[in-house]
Amino acid sequence: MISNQILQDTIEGIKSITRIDLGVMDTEGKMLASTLKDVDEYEKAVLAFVDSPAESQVLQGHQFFKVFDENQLEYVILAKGETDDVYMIGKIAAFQVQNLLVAYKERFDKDNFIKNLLLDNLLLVDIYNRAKKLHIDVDARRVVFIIETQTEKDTNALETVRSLFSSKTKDFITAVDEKSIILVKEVKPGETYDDMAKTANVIVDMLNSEAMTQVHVAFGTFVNEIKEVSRSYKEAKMALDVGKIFYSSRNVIAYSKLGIGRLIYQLPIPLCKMFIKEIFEGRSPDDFDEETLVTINKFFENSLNVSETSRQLYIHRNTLVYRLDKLQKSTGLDLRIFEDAITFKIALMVVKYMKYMETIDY
Amino acid sequence: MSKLTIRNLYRTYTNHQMALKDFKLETKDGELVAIVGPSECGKSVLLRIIAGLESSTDGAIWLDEQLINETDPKARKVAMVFRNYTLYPEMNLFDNLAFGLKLLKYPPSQIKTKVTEIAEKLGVSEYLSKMPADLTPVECFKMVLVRAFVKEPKILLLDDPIAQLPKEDRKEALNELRRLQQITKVTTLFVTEYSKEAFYIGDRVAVMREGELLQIGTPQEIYDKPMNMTVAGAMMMPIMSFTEIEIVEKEDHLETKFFGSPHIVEEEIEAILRKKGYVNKKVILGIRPDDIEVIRIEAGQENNAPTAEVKYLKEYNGKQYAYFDYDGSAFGALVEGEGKIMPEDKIVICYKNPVPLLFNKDSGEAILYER
Repeated sequence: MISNQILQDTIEGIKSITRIDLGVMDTEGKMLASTLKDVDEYEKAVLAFVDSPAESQVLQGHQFFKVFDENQLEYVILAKGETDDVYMIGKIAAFQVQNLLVAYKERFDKDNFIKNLLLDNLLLVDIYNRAKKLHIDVDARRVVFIIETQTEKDTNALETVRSLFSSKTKDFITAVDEKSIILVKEVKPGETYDDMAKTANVIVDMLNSEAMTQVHVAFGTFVNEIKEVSRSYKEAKMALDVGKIFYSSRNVIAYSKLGIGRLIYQLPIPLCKMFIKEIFEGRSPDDFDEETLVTINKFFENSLNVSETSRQLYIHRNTLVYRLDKLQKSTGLDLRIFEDAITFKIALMVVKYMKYMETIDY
Repeated sequence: MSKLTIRNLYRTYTNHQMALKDFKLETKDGELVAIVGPSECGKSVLLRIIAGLESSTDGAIWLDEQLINETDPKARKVAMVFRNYTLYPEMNLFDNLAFGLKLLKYPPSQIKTKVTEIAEKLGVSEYLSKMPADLTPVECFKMVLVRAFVKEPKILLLDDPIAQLPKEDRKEALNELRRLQQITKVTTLFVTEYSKEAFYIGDRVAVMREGELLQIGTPQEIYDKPMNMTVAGAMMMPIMSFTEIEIVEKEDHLETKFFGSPHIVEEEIEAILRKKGYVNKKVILGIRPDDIEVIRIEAGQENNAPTAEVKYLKEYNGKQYAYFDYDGSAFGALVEGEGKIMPEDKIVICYKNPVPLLFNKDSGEAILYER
């Protein structure tokens, strides 16, 4: 559970304070971390010590101590020297490792709890009982962020997010799948969705510049009770999806700001098909050539302003009018008319949605 | 010191929006190029593509002799600082600086020497044991830059990094950036929306609009010879005014009229105008406030000279400018000496630029010089 690196850091830290050489071994006599040389020679002595009932022992000029995890022997600590001082320091080292065990266990339990909470795997009574045991505030206002990285198992991204938030113990960072990191964040009084968007932007910018990974961040709405955290998670997940379909150039997507995408995302596919058939009469919008699509999008971008659109496309006004006329002939929709423009815009979004649903069907 | 070369870069989104269009840029070793343009003009996308966070639709990016289009972002030797930078709140500055190297899997001993060395070189050693909360906003900004330099990047990309600083701190922050960049000599691209910042910090300034590079040059080059009206209109602080004038053929010279009085076109300019066929045609004259002088006239002193009424006064870079309307367009003019001109004063207008800025009426391109 505790990585050897952490154990090594711990005993090196103690050595730098006390100048006493220390080692940590497992119950089979394998050295896990050590500041001593010739680590092999202790194996036999340790195995003998493991079998003895003693809590500590002096052997071959070294003192040995046992570290238990709930009565189960977990580690053996050895300290070089036979004096009382060394005994004291060895005891301290054992105590430190013991505490590390407890802390790690608690963290693991919390992580497990949050994961199950997000995935709705807990009974309501269990949520409150376990939260209480783990000292997690049940009434805090929280929000869930999902941070999706482009590469699977991006440990750098995880490290970066942890460094940004983790040690504030009220925020939890976990993962339920390979591609995303989940941040359950406590909302401070007075914080708004704009602040959350800012947090999300900080995450994006920091992951871009530190972990060099492209990420998308989505977040759900605020929830006031721990049992609702999974709702915020589901919302964030949906926001991520909707963002991917409709707003591909945005890196941060808030569930509270999904716009028309929110409506279209809920539509049943057969209904979409009917709608598209009605608008395009069996043709697919893919049949339009690139030029037409660029024109349409620029026209929408410029709020149906003909002169501005033609200027930006570097075409003559009349060329644009001609293209719009041509489109009207083939679809019956005149984009210069507000109503037709909305229909067309929505139809394009519906098509995007249908395409997305097709890709995830496979 | 490295050289970045970008050729014919395109970026089109799935909704057919074009973020970058035939973008070209070539940096020199160790220079700081300030890229300026309004929001959504493609400058951030450009940086993201150079960093490898987004892919380009077409085009080539070279870093020194290496084509990096397909290179993994982590292997590009590029460092970035974005608008929403932050220091890791729970780590001291040393660990903050070391973090990036840890992610790049440097051994601890090497990280220590590197961080200490660079902090020493950049004169920030005293900060290493501090916590982020103890720093002022400008110091934070400085340390974020140092954190970027610790990675020893070939290129540093800065996307509007000083946006989150309070206004009064920005100049100091830019000075710090300049200082650090000159010590490290890392080739740097600095993106901003404000021409003032770009002109202040850039060895060269690149002006962008709608995904295209309009002009690149030293601040002086761009000030003296803006290539078109967009650059001229956007880059000059205080803002340049435009007025339509006609080039009229007279017996032995070309003449034009503005602010109510005729001006003889200089021989050199005449030659260009004749060669390019602008005789008896209308063109646009760009007038910088610094090129106009105004004198107050007291009641009863009026003569035939063109007059206007001062609407308001405004200060830029420590100089006073008076603003007035003439013939339906708004103009600004430099006011020499304090308190000489007040709002509602009647003024005489004198134009004093020996090298006028002329633009084609339709295309907006500069007439008197070429790319």
